[in-house]
Amino acid sequence: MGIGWVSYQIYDSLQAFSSSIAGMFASRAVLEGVGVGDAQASPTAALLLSVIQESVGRIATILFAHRVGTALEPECKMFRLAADVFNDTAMVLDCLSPAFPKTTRVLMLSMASVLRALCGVAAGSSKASLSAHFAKQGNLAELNAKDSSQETIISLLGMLAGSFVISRVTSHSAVWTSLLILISIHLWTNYMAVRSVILRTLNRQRANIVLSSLIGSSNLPSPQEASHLERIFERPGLLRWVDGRILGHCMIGVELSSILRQLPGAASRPSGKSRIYRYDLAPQKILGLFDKEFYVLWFDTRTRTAYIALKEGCQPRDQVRAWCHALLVARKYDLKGLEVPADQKTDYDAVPPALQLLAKTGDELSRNFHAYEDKLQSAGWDTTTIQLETRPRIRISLSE
Amino acid sequence: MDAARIKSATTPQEIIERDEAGNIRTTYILSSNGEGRERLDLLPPPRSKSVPEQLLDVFLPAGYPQSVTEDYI
Repeated sequence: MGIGWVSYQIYDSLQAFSSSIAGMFASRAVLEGVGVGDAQASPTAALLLSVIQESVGRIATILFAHRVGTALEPECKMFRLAADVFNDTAMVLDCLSPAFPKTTRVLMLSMASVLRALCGVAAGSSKASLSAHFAKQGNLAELNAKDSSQETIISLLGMLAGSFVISRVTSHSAVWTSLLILISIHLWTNYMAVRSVILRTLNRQRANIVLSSLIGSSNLPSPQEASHLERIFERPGLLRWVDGRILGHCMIGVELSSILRQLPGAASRPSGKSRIYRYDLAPQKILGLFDKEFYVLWFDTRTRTAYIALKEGCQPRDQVRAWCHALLVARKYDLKGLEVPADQKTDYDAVPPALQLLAKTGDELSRNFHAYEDKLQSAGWDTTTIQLETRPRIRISLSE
Repeated sequence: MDAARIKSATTPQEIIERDEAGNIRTTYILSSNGEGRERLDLLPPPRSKSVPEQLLDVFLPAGYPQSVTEDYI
């Protein structure tokens, strides 16, 4: 078992307990909505309603998996918690639904069904990813089986407790008070469960924490220390220094065209099916700067966004280096802007400051990156699997 | 990576961009007219995916077939 397993399991069990009780309130509201206890309600209408709900839910499952599929693994902590936010929102919608007229009610119940579908995809796949992290000795299948028995016994107990609670809690205000308390417990325990997981792979956020500490103080946090610094709902692609300051954004694995279209003086016109760009600054200059590396980096100073295009054959270390370079550029720019040293003033026209910034930080990285790599490994970080890319991979190959 | 190297960077060429399954997405051709104006041509993929292929992509893992073992299908 990996570290953090016990506390994860405890919080995970607690969340299942509160979730199953809250779920009973939601189910009761739905039954009330379809007309249980109403002599005029038709079973056919209730059945058709559930067909509608199931259908939109299944379509949502497919679309969501297509849309966020590649981000599930790198951002598994975020999706693990997001799943429960989806689920709880669905429960609130269920509980609200009986108060509305029929059409609105159908819409609300379908919306709840969509949210449950999103919860299913996000929870299922992020759980798979977390289980793979916990299983140390090829015991993934058994770990999963035991996971579900834990959840089953807890849900069973939750249902028993729920039956007791639900028969006593019937007034409007009491239902809402208990529901909100249960949901708060549910989300808090989930948050704690996710926080207690200590991942050793570098995703975008952990790369920020680790690399900025290395650059800034050469004092590297261990995976455990970094897990305390992690924010579960971090805006995607942020470049954040370890002290919390936001330096800009970074997009890794982009198309080369998103770099080329931003170079100074770029003007474009379509020509048949293709598109032609003309430049003042040769794109070769920026490509030449990175001809020894497996990435091409451009930092747009206006939006403070770093764009990284990866070359065919780039290894995990190249991706880490690219991210490190982006952090370094954003940090330098944040501290000093595009300063031009006095002795280089003459080169100003030939080599624009933005390019000089990239070159200078690249030199700095060349000197230090070996040491960074050694430190990463000795602190227990996984340098063989890299989880920086959250979109389907794109690679460029340059002909000689 | 000093300033001198930036200035003396020689002309590449052709750059090919591929997606996760190795299909060509875009071809870039860089050229210069020798008067300081640089030119870049962006060519679309030689063959774009058909609608059934795009539909199939929704259900297959990103990067299929390279991203999975050969017994996956």
